Amino acid sequence: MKIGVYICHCGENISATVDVDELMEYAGKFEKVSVVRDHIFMCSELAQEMIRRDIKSGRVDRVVIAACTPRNHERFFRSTLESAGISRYMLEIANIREQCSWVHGDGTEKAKKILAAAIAKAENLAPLNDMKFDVEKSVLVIGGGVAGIVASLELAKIGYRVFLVEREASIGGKMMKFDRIFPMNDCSSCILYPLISEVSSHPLIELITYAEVEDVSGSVGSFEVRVRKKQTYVDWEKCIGCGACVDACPPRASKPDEFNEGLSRRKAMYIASPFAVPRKAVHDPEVCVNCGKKVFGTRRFLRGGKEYLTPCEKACPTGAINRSIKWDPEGETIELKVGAIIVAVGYRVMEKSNFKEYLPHSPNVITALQFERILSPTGPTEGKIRRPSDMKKPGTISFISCVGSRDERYHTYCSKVCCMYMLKQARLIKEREPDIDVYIHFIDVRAPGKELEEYYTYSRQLGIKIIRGKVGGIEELSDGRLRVMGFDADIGVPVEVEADLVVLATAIELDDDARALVKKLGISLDTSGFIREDHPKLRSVESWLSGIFIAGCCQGPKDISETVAQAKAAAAAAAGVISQDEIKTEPFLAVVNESLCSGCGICTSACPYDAVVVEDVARVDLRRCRGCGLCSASCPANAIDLSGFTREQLMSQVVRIS
Amino acid sequence: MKVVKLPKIDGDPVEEVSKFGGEGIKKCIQCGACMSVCPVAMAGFNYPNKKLFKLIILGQRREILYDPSPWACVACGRCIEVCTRDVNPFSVYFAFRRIQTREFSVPSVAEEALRNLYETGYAVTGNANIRKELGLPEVKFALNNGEALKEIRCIIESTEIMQLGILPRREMF
Repeated sequence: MKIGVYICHCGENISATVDVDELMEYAGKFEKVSVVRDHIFMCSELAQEMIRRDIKSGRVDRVVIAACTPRNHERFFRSTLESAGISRYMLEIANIREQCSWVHGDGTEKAKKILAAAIAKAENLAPLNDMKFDVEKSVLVIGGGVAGIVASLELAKIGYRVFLVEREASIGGKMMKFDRIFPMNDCSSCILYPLISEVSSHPLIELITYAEVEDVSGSVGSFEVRVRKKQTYVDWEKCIGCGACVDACPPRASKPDEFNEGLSRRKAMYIASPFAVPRKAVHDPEVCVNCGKKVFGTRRFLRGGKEYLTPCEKACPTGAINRSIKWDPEGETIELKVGAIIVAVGYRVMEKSNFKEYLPHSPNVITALQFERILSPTGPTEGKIRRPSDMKKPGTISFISCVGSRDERYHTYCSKVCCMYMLKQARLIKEREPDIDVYIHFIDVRAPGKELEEYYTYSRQLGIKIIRGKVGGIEELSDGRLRVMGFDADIGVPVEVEADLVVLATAIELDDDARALVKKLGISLDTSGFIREDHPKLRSVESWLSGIFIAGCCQGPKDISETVAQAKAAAAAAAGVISQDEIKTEPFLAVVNESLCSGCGICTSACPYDAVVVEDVARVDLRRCRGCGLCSASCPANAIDLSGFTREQLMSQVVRIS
Repeated sequence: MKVVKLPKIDGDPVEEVSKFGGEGIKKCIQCGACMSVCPVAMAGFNYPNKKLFKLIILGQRREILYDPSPWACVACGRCIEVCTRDVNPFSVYFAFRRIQTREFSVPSVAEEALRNLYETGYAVTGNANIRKELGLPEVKFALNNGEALKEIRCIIESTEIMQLGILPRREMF
């Protein structure tokens, strides 16, 4: 046994707080250590060559690298070992950067302990073989917004089967709600509709709308997914989207419309949006008032024995509606098998009710997404600029930026797109109704990127008044107008604007449903509450679970062009995985020592992934096992071990440093 | 501190300033470079260029119409050099002077300077004794050169400034 110890300076990241010379001398004293070397950048090609030379010359047969977190470069160092001719798993990494030099003033003593433990484990390493699995050549895309649509199309173009699951009744996402998009101010629909029709007619793409992902198991190359299609009471095979049932549905059975952000109402029987794809009716049992004197889920017969029909059932020309069906909260479940998953579940904007100082009760204080609907020709005012309280044209409109963003009480991050969409909305106002005064109250205008600064300066030239200083509050005047109390840092005095309409650029955040989905998938969130990417720079579309990719605003706030770029990147990365003939996965999975196992079944109840079953003795389904180690820890007979993290290996580390 | 109320705007001072040669104001993004080098700011006047421009942009004509700050500009031109947006702050400043003049709201500082110019050929005459103490050469005033002063007066008299009634109207030659 010849252990090579390689200590990285990481520029000055490590060497500034850890005495590398002392650490080298310390490492050299271990009996099994044959070579100790340092390098300013152990991840450089020069250092790799040095390691390979040591292995090839026979001086080293197992490697300890003292450097940064294994999350950064473990895969890379493993490939170095493999290319030099030894098992890729004869490697142990001592993290003396993140857990040592970065957090301690003098890290030398701690580095010694970390290194000693790593050497102890290296002494107990054994060669392991990668697991090989077949690959399912299909992808599940969750979320039918622009990110999901683009990713699906890209994968279908390559030739892979795609299942596109959307929780709403129609695909298109938030982009459907926008009128125009910066920086060209071109129409959002004209860009999105062709994509939607392409996606809905592509033979390789299966649209599963009004459905939610219920459960996900398996791993890269072979995920088993259960999708629940919500019950609609409408047979979508028969529904032609004519809207006759919507007309028949009484106005008293209604609630604020999701598509118009609550600015109008929709009925219990509704079609998601004027340009919904698929264009199918949906029945919302929570809003239904059972107007036909027939409770849904029951049947009623007329005196002649003929079945009684409710107004919506009667109105339907194709007989697609059947309100006699029992309400089934389970809906219809679909089982899918896919090789990779792309999560593109988007975002929501914060509700105005969170911000008491901005008078959320006033109908004339709205969120920017609501204003987007007011500007849109498919919205409640058909694109005319009107205020919600009385549908009159406002004389003055004030925008307030950073509402909930850059705010320690809500979200500390910048929501990134608000400055641009406020400028866009302000410009659209000035272009349509130049006599409306427009004020934008901001902290900083952030318009970086192609054509965006030019957009900003052009907006100023149009006469949009941009005031540096955040608004502290709004007061309601006796005539229902709003007094916006701001501050102008340019002249250094408080300013007051009497506005007819106030638009809040509320923060972008992840939806609660998306959080639940993240849990089901087993991926994680970052400190901002968005889905965490595996590496912020190098693996920005991968989640930390291999085979699960992320795209769009669920990974962090971004505009449409960035979303599309990321969706294409995620599609390419997913294709890279499922294009392989077989997938190799790391062998760090549970192994049962059958001679010790009594079949008690504690491991079965401990396993969060349903990967262990007891048939006389415990058996591990390696496709489901994620190597968490709970079974191993809970086994009273020490019959289950985790490859690469065996009892022997871990105990040797503990013993060495205690 | 005073609160500036931003009422619905009557007329547009930005357009007004543009008409008098300050159309660069539309490009101003309030970066403040001009103010950082402006002697008007250093001398402590209320509205050095950037601040004045912001009030014009906000339509606050009444706030600034009677303010003497624009008249403190010594036309040094540093603001033009440092402006990253090609606003030409100097020309905006001077455009605003033109507006103030048209509105008969020239501050007394400016009136005095104008009278000086008419009387002596110099807006600011300075103190001859201090120059002597410092060993600087004596300034040759146009006052001492009848022909030059006559020309200056002739130019001033042929402009609209005479309509302000600040200067004595004299017989032309």
